Amino acid sequence: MQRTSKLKSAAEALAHVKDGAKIIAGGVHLSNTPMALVRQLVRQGVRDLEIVPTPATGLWVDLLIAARCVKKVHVSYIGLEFLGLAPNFRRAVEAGEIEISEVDEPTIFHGLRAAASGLPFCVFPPIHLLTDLPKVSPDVYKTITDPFTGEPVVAVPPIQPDVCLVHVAKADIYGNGLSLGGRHMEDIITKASRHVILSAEEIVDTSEFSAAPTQTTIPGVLVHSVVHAPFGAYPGACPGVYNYDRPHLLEYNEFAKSDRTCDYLDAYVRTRNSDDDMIQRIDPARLQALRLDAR
Amino acid sequence: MSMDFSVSELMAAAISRELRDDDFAAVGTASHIPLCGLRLAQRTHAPNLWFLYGGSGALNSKASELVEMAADYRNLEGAEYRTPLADIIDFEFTGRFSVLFLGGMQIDKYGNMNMVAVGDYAKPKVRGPGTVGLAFTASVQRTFVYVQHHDPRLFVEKVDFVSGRGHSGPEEVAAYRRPWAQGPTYLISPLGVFDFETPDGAMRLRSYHPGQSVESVQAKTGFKLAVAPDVGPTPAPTAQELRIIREIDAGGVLRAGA
Repeated sequence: MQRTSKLKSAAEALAHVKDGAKIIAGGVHLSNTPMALVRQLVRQGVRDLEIVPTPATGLWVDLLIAARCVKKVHVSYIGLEFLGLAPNFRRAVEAGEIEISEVDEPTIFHGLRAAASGLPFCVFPPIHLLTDLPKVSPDVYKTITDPFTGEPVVAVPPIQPDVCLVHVAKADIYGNGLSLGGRHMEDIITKASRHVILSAEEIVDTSEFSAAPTQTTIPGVLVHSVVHAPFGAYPGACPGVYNYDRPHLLEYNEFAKSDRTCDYLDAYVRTRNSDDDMIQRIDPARLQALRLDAR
Repeated sequence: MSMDFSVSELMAAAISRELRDDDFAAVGTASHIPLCGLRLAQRTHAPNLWFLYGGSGALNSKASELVEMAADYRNLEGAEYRTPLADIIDFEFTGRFSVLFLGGMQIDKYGNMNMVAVGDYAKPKVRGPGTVGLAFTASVQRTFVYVQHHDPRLFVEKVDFVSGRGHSGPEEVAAYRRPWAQGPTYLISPLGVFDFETPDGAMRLRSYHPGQSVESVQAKTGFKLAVAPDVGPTPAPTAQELRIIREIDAGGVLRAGA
């Protein structure tokens, strides 16, 4: 019997994402965000997503909010890093258009950790009682008594996403992945989620992984689909492969700030049949200049 | 008044002097100035200092250019370790970080920081990015507050949302802050250097930068500032400090005043 390839088109892989799904994407800020997969979600017109961002990110969330794909966001940090606030996120919250679970970095991280490890919840020392988070998110922060010391501690619930999207530099057809930016928290989000879709700049032979198994950052056993997505983190960076496209990010930010993200989506996302099609319309010289091997 | 250094360079030198040889510090987004301060300290009085550079995960980054994103993987250049988020959060909870640089869109008299919302939480005037790691001011040893602006909209009497707790409500603070944590101990802005060495932990002006005075800093602050008895000008960077800052910042980002 043959080992089964997990290689699929983005559309095939993402057909698994239903309206109302709870979804997480890997990466930190503008590094290794699976933008090709996110753009495909926009093309598919998925609705009512519940977004669980990694603790510091923004562009993909802002884009999905503008595309009206989002019902609820768990918030630790949603912003565009050096570009400032995320305009669509900001507008949607100020207008009361999306639901918020107001949390922070350790709450999201350990919520995912709890789901990844099968723990009923995680417990913190009571530092959150010095913030306003428990006041606005009483469903998340529960003060309980430490059974060992009798002191007050704060319990936070597990977070189990339905779907996890991760982008890496290299993958094989069985779902093994290599991030050249090292491990951030992809190991935890892939274990925490029910279904994992991996996109990769390059599909390589499994022998590349078996030659150096200590370098593998995502084991294929956790992955359900693999998508070949060159420039799949664009306009963000894919560590070790290419830098972010600053002019394109500025262009996005201008569209977003002036509430014309729909025009951006029409120009770059909705009118393109696939992400390959979108990337092909970006100036090839500019793309090449972003690549580290061009230097 | 003519100066042969920028306010940003002055701030980097001031931060450097506040760091100790045995510190393990962490700095987040948009942090060229603290980054330069950390690297300057390593190259002067604190060669054993370690630091984490934000989302890049870099420990002891020696990147040859100051890039605009802390999370940029290029900050791994010359670093000794790529810290996963799991390690970072462990270091934050357990107080292994002796210094954590934080900031806010509002900061009040007692060093409380807000990154969530200006105005009513349910109907905010400005929705901020979120609390991220600000709760850890109650579990790291010392919190250094760093801001790139100084005006009465940022420095307010009372924050609209507490993301990171300063020194208000001493009984609660004593009950819930980790025993090793001191909360905000230092604050630097483009106008001056501050601490919280007052009986009630209120913010106190320690020194003002060139072109400023006690009165001018007070005028840009939305609450009554305490003033240190020996308040005076922030000491200028020495020639050696300036030379090292400009080696770290070869592209002149700080010199241009960014």
